[in-house]
Amino acid sequence: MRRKKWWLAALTLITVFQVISMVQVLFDQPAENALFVLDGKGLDAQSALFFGIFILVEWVYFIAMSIARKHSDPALELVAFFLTGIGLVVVAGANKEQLKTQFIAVMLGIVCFAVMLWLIGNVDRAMLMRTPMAAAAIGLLVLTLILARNIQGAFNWLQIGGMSIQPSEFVKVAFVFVGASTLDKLQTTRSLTKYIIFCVVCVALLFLMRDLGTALIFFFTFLVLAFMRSGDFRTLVLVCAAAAMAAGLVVLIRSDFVMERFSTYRHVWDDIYGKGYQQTRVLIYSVSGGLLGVGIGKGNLKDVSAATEDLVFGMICEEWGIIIGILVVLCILFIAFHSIRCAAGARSAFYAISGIAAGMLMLFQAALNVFGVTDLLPLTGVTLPFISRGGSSAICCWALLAFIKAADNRTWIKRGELGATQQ
Amino acid sequence: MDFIVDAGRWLLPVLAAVIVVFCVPSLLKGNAKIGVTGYLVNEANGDRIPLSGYEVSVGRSKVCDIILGYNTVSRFHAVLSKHKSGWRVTDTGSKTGTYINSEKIDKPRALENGDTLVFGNAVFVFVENTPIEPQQTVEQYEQGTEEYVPDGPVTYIIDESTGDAYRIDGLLTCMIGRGDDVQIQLNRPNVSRRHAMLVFDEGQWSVTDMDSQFGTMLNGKPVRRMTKIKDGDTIDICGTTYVFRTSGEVSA
Repeated sequence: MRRKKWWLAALTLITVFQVISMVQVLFDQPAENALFVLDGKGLDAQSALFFGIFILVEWVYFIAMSIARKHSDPALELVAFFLTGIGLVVVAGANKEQLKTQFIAVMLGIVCFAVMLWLIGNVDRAMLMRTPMAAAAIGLLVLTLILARNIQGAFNWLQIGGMSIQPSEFVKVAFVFVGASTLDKLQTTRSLTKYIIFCVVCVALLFLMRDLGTALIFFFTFLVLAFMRSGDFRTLVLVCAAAAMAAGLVVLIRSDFVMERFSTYRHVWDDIYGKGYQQTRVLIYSVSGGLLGVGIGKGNLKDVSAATEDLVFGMICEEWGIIIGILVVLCILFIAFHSIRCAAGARSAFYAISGIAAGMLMLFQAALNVFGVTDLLPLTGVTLPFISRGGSSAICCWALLAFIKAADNRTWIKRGELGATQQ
Repeated sequence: MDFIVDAGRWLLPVLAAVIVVFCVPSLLKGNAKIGVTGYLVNEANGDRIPLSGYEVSVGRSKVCDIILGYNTVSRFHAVLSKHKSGWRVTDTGSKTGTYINSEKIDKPRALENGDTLVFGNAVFVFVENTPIEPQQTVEQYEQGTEEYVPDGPVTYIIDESTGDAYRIDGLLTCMIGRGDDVQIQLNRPNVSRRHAMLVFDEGQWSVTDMDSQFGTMLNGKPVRRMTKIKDGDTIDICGTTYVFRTSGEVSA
């Protein structure tokens, strides 16, 4: 039996959660000329507008979905909106100036989610897109390699106009897409060869960019995709390609930049003002947050560099408390678990493979991030899905979410196609 | 302001926990199984191979869903896929090709009930899973057909109000609903297209609700998960009561 309108209750709770958290960061302006004044502090009208639009988009999305696709299961997007909301408040709590860019990126991400869902809605249409997608991905990586500047040891940022984007994030989406569409059950051996060439080129380019975190994520995703299509001589070919990629990783590890990161690993307390600065701050401040946190925007970690990006898990633990920190990680874990549950019985192997690859990619990235800042793994500087500041990352996460959504058959049931007739 | 921050510190974790608890049951629920919607009958020995799910691969490789150990069959020979219109077959670049009614296919082709399918040396007849015709009595049923008779017990689903008996032994899954691709059609308001499914697994029948809008009752209790059923159990779907009888005891 179906639970009726439960999403409405969940959405209301999420909205209440977001309003309570947002109010805490909104009143920090001088009282003069402010629309509302609370406790001697004025309302930040611009940020309030962004939050307002975000909540509005959230409601419009779910109401539209409940009308157009009433059988679709909204839990996945509820969790995504919940996490995105936390991300926006974290960014606003640390630095209001960055909120605008993050807000625009989230909106673009939601549009991207809808476009991707439409694009892969028809498997035949999706198959036509794989060559352009692969070409675009490689083109983007090559362009980055030519134009990128060195930021924190990696050449993975592209300046376009006043904006800086991280192309490897977009390539993640293409990587999953091309992987799933060439490994689909309905494919022949020829498409597999082309896919392996694509993988090797992608990872080689990432090696040249010295983007260790992303290279690791790609490698892991590749293994997941290979596992999904395992058995027979094809596996051998895939494993050979995997070995080649691992060899590339070793070459990368030998580079000085990576050695430096590995030398810090498990030794963060040896140099707390130097190489171990970020992780030790995360550990100290996370503890001071306790179960309930010190209050949003009141933490000390936000002054450490990359606090809202790589160290965002520490930010949440300090300001929101470890309970919410653990719940955030659980949410990503459940998203990944959902992708596995949906893969069995998905309408096409394409949906099953792309859904699992996307879910596992997010989970692996979250694990690298959380274990990285807590010094259980070397710090690789990857983002926490949906939460970290970073426009490219936000767009990528929403686009990847479309793959998981597509694997759920209920997404595709049109109104009136299933269920009861009206009396 | 301090009050809001303090209240928030306590409220936010509680709200977050409730939100996660709300969403998790849905996230943990996978896709509903659609049951068996067709069979491939082996011409050589009469074996019925059930076609379940949306995509069934055929080939010599051990990762295929239907493994055919013939040298003339490619490792990945063909894929049968279920669409809204019915089953379709696609040749995935096999050496010897795939034939429907002696015609070689070069692009995906729709399958019709009774089509002969040839993969290398293996010959199959495609049988669609059509609704079961209700029978008033066992005798009438047995006179009218020369169907495949299983070794196991004879099993019926009996509509209590009309006395219609549907023989379901030999099936692996039996879908009840308003749709066209179900085994027991129930054309009543409020019934979902795929409402409930009976599943035969390890010699035991079970019933499961297909996430229907109004639910399924087993002996007066709502069915929440796959539940085993025994002789004499009643299954209630939107006011229609079915009695499950097994081992040939029919009292319609």
